[in-house]
Amino acid sequence: MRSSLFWDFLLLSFVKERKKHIGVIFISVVILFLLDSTLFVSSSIKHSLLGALKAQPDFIVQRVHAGERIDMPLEWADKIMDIHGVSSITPRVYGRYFFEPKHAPVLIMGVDFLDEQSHRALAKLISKTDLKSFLSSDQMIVGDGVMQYLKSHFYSDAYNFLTPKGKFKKVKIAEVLPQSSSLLSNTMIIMPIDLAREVLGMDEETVSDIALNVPNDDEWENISDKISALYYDLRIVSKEEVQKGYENLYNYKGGYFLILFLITLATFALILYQRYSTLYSAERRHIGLLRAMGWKISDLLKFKLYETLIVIIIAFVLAFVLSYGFVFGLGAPLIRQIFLGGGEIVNAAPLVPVVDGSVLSTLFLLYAVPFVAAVLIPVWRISVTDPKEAML
Amino acid sequence: MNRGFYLSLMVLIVSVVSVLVYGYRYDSRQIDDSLATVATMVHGVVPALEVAYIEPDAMELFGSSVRANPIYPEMPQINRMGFVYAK
Amino acid sequence: MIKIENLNRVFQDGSDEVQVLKNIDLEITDGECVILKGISGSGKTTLLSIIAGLDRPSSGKLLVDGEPIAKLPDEHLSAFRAKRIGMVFQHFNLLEHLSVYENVIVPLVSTDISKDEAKQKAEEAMRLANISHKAQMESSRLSGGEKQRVAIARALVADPDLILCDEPTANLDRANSLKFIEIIKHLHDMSKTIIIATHDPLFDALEFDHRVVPMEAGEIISAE
Repeated sequence: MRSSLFWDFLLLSFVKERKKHIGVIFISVVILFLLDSTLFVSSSIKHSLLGALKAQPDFIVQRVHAGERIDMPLEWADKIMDIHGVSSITPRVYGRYFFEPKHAPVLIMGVDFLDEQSHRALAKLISKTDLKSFLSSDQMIVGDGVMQYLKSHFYSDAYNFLTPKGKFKKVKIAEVLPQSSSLLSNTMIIMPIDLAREVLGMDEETVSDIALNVPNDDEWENISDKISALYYDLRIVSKEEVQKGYENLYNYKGGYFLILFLITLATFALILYQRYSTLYSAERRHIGLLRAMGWKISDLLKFKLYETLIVIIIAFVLAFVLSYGFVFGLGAPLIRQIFLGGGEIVNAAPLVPVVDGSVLSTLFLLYAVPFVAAVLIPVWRISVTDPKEAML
Repeated sequence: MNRGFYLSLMVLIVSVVSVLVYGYRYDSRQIDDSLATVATMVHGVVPALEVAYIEPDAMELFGSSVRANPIYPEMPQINRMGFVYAK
Repeated sequence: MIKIENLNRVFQDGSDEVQVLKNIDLEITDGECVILKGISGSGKTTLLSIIAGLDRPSSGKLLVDGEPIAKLPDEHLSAFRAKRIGMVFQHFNLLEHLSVYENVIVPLVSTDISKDEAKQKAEEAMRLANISHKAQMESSRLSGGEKQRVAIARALVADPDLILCDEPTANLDRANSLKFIEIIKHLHDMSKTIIIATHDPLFDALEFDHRVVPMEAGEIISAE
């Protein structure tokens, strides 16, 4: 039974019973909108972070005591450099600084601008400031979030850092990093490495960790073993691990997302049950009548299936469009706080439009399958009874 | 009556196509370049402190997770005592 | 032709059994008009439902043109209902959210008929039932008499051989009841086989050939 009369009747019946469907479509759209928005924000952040991984060094070597990273001697870098296969080594100096006691942490990154890569990157970022004067005086480049915070606290040109030695160190703000880099730089302060050491209270022979590159992938495991063998308290984080970490950053099978999905499914199932059970007697009579008019069980099931699929597709597509506009057009106010609200400084990083097809498909199935079952199973049960009984 | 339905359907299809065209044509180069430049300068992809870290282990719900976070060089996991000590 | 032999229908009411039809024997020839006469509870609606294939007998034989209707699988029984039977229910049983025209084409949707052919048949059926002028009106806004005519048009749309009517005038006033009887006369003239289950005394004095089959307590008292 696939004649155009069937389709016409299907659409006609759907439109005429729109009041029945609009309620379910509305609820579906609200639930799917929340889910889609959450997924879009997380996909976008993941995509941007993974995209930036080209710049991630092959290995980061850290010293660990009782599970926590501690500073390490600079001379360890020389020992690591001696390992055959290691092409470049960059000691890193960084640390957290709180603008207020227990509040507003920022990450101070000390950069050795004599390093060619860092120098070139700096030249790209500092367009308004003279490179020479930046390197020769106490200046810093701040992230957008840091600048907003400082402005709100009446610092516009410079800030006096309180060093661990109890002294104040005035550092001028040379430039503000663009908002387009806020995903990384929002709460970052970049300063020359020696200045960072001074502000963080680290001595010259100490570094936070060491970044190194090993051009030959086949040597990675070998070199990793050699580095581990050097000192007992080293932790080596490979680029692969970092990549896997980012890929699982918002693990849709875990924790927060699992709870979100389960709550959504449970809410939706309850609503469906309540919605369709209240129509039960009228629906039952209609089905009995159609059977009495000569409709086969399969005709009825097809009719109801297509009717349900129309509802599902409309709701899903509408939610997709609305959430896309909400996230990538309006910047996902409120929802972005879930992913970018871990600190006290607002992060206005732009979200790149990215749609994770596999997650969207999973979401569609999670939504569509229970919905179809919730509709078809009662319809089937009524259809297999004698029409006279169904019409009672 | 079906005309109204088809019209609504057309509007929906046009919205979807618009969304897809917008996404396809979106030039993320500026953002990608910015992020790459910062990452190059600091020798690593270090997310801003606001970027929420969600424990990647499903078993975390039942308190059995012991995974260390390899991504954040500085911020400890917020469900560990290290965070309290750092504060 | 319809042949019923020793037909019984028993309903389960909890642990009790209620025998609604007892040893029914009846033969109806093609083109005949039969009135099943009896008060409420006499079993005439149940008998009609079984003939229409809407219910199944507990025992006995029911043959329509030699086919054992009660034993047919669902697909064949549905086809039988769609093409051979036109049913008019006591409470009309229209789909209230649909218009007159849309209600009338319902039996045709399950067939492979084209849209144009369906439109033609529906217009013809509405003309016969004298409801064409209200084709686009929503059926919930019709009067009782008009609803009945829609039900008749729906019953006729597939051009069935057999028209079954269950208490067709129970919800109509006298004027509309008489109009209904006129339509039945017209259908009788078209050589349709008609079976009407009713206790309306208006059917005692029909002006065309018909047979009255009185029923009481699930049995046929005497068949003429």
